[in-house]
Amino acid sequence: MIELIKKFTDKEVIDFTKMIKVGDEFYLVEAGLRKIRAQVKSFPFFIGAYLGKRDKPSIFLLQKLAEVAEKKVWVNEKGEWLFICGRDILGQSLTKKAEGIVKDDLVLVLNKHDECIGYGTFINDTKPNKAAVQSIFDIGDFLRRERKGK
Amino acid sequence: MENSMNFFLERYEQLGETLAPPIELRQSLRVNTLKITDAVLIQRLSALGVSLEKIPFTRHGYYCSSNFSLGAITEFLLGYFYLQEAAAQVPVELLDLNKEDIVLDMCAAPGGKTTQIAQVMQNKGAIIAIEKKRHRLISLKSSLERMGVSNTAAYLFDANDARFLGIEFDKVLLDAPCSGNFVTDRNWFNKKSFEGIQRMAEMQKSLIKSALSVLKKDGILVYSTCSLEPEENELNMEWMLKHFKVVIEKTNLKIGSEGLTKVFGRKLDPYIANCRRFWPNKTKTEGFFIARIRKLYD
Repeated sequence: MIELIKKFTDKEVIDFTKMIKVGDEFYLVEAGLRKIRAQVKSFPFFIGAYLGKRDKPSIFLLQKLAEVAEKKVWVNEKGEWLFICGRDILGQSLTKKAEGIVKDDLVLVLNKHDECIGYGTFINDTKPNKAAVQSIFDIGDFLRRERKGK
Repeated sequence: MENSMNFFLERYEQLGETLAPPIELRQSLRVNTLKITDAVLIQRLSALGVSLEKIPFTRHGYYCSSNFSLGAITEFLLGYFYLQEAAAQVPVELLDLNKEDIVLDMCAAPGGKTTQIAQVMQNKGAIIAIEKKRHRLISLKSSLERMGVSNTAAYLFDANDARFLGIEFDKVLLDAPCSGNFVTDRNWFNKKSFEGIQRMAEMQKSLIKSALSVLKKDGILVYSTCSLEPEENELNMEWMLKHFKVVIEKTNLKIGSEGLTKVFGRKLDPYIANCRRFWPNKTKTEGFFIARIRKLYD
């Protein structure tokens, strides 16, 4: 999880001393819940603020990253909808791009309300009908994950 | 089906209520104030063409209608609201929560009420959310993550074994597994039998016993079901009052009728009137039953 965060920023996004690993997932856990974790002789399926696993950051972590990371792009409503359905972002859907972004950079994707809705790899924004950002992860992953689990 | 439907409708008639199914249910949501205010969400959803109307008996509930699925839009995915039936938003409001409380949510999935508890507690204190079915934990986890809950630990755990958690709780929510009601399931009459309801009532008694075993003295247990059957509601409360040192407290709810104190000719403890029973024809919600119970000192 630290590696994933470092790909976006060197700044301190979360307090790493409060981070714990449960299975392959990472959580930020305050003292009160740590005490409970020690008390309950069972494996928690969820505890504290969920940070994510591997290359899948939680909504909480995405918003934290968006507060400090510099490499960000903004999409219009149509692009936002397609992106949360798991699609790439076309050049014509980009409304803004932070300075200094070059090909193959990891970029956070934000909507018009400045809410981070995922991230991807920047390709090229000069061709309106071609992918400008290749999707890696988006918040629609929830629905797809739940459907898979059922 | 006709016979089964008549059987249940006649029972309701004997309890003083004439019901004529089907009863249409309005979709409703709860604003997640951990992430957004009512005013900002109303503005955003209205801009998308969603009609909203405040549910008068809830703090952050709204009836909603739209010509698209609300469960797939960005505002939903970011956890700004939870799609939750109007009556189901009431039990948590009776827990009288404090930010320091340690709370047990006994049958927690899919997490509507757990996330509401976290919202009222402003992510302070601690919630233990337990669920005995593994596949249902997936939706519980998703809800906790999406709604930005950070004061909760969720476990795969049978609520009957709550004592093995080794914790005494200030508040316990037992939104018990139940037979449900015909408002939310068109095929309900066809699926249910009196024997099934009796079995369910026995299971609920066992859960009530478990809930009271982990509740602190003077702590509050909120018991709720979405069943209209007195065996799962008032008769379970009668059993509880006979076997445990508890009182059923009056609530100041402006919705619902008093709990029944006469069931099929049998007179029950008068304190059961303090419960609230939601007859769907009157409340325009699903069928529901709620009791706020305080554990007494010895």
